[in-house]
Amino acid sequence: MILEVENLSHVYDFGTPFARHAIKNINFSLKANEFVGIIGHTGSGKSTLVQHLNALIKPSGGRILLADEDIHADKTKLKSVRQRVGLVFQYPEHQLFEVNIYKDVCFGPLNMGLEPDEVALRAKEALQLVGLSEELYNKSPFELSGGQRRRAAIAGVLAMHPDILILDEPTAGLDPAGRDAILSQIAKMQKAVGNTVVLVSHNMEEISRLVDRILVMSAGEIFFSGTPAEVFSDTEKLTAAGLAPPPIAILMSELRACGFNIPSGIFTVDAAAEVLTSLKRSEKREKGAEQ
Amino acid sequence: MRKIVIGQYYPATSIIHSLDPRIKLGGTVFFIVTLFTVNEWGAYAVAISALASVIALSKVPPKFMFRGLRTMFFILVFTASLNIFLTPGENVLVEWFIFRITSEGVSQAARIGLRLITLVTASTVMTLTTTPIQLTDAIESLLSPLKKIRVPVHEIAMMMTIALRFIPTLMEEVDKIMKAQMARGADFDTGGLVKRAKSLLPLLIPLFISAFRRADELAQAMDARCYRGDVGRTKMKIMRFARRDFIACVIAIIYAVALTALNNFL
Repeated sequence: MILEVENLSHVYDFGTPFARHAIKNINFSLKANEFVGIIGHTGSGKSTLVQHLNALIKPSGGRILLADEDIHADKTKLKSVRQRVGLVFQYPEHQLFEVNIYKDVCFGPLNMGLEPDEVALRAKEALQLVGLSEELYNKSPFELSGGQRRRAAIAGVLAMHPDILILDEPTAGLDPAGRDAILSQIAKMQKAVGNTVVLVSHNMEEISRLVDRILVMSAGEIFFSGTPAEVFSDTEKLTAAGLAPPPIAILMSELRACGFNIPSGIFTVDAAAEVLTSLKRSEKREKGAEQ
Repeated sequence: MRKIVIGQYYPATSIIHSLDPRIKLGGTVFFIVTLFTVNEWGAYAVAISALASVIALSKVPPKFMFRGLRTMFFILVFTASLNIFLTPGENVLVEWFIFRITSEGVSQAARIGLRLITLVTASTVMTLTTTPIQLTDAIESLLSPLKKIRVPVHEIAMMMTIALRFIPTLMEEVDKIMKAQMARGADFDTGGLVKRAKSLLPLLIPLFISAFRRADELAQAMDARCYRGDVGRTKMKIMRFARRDFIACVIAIIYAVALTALNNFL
């Protein structure tokens, strides 16, 4: 366990008439090298939760243990917590501020107080990881496309070498090509670096292809969790959480309801095709046996 | 996403809330002007009870009224003490070193203090019962005669409305960018003056960029809805002078007459 969350809750505007529970009773843990997805309806508390994980928000109740140490125990260590738990915000390209993207990526490592050589090394490595080529290094963020800007911003967090990388809706507002580019870059990077990655999204499809485990959030709580196969086959629970299950999962559960013998946990087109062809084959065989 | 309240509008349904904002704005200015003519205790009683009845009618909990006073506290104490020590008079109450407190001074300080409290509370009542948008509408309408001498009244009011609208948006933006830079190890609250000023750059640059982007988008959206300034523009919420507004004017006149009478003839 590199990160454990115990009974975490947060109340916004505590003690005012506007007080409201953003998250409550959150319990989960992250293992090293794990790829975890968090899904939930808009306003289900996903963003509030991840901002707790690197100590940007102080919990109203409960605690977060990073390598068995409470992250709020020592105020002077907050910077190191934020370095170990890297958080990429929604629309991270809006936070770029330097004259060129190379300098912007250096911002994090420089704040860590690293030597100039090490900073340069990390910045180049991070930009390479997100797939930005060298001729772009000296370009101003204004000269880049939306997808490139976002990748530069993600590199800015990667350059700090976080043990846990959290991405809050990294594909929001991108076209399908940009979305696929970012997601495959993230998957590749996770394999290469081997760190823990948390992907927050409300897009089932993109999450299902990448993660090992999914936490489903609803109304500020973890509604249920499991492997993508477990989560996506439970179409009822997903609907109750205000999420649309993947279309294939809906089709499969309806076929099951009609009496077809279909195993649970089918939610991709390829898997569905396989199941349906084998079903057809076995039906043919049965017919042949009857004749 | 914290709730950021602009101005201090307190939503309620009351006769004061539903008054024409022009009447409320004009009435508040009128009330404040009359306060400065008041000197006698009897007239103070009339002014304060008039204010108290407006507060009662507004259905806003009284504790909200005195919030404005908290920021005024220093000025209040300062003015009152100046009056206590510096008013010349016959009846010396205490005399010590160069300080000398007279009964005239005490009474003068009490009157000035009361005047300040009433003044601030009156304007608080107005902002509590009128939304900022209603206020800018009222200002536009009241200043519209200035259009004749080519003062761009409508444009000024529109600018105020837009500025008010974007304060909460920009506050949220500041919060978000600040957190994003803190996640990259930025430090906003340690170090000397120069270091701190420098550390604000990663916050200010993205903020300006996004403000310009928003301004651009808003301009396009207004253009797409055929906004072309004041000429020929109609209002969705037309301010109408209703019967209650007329009654409010009559009450204001009666109040002014009573006040002058008490001040001058008693």
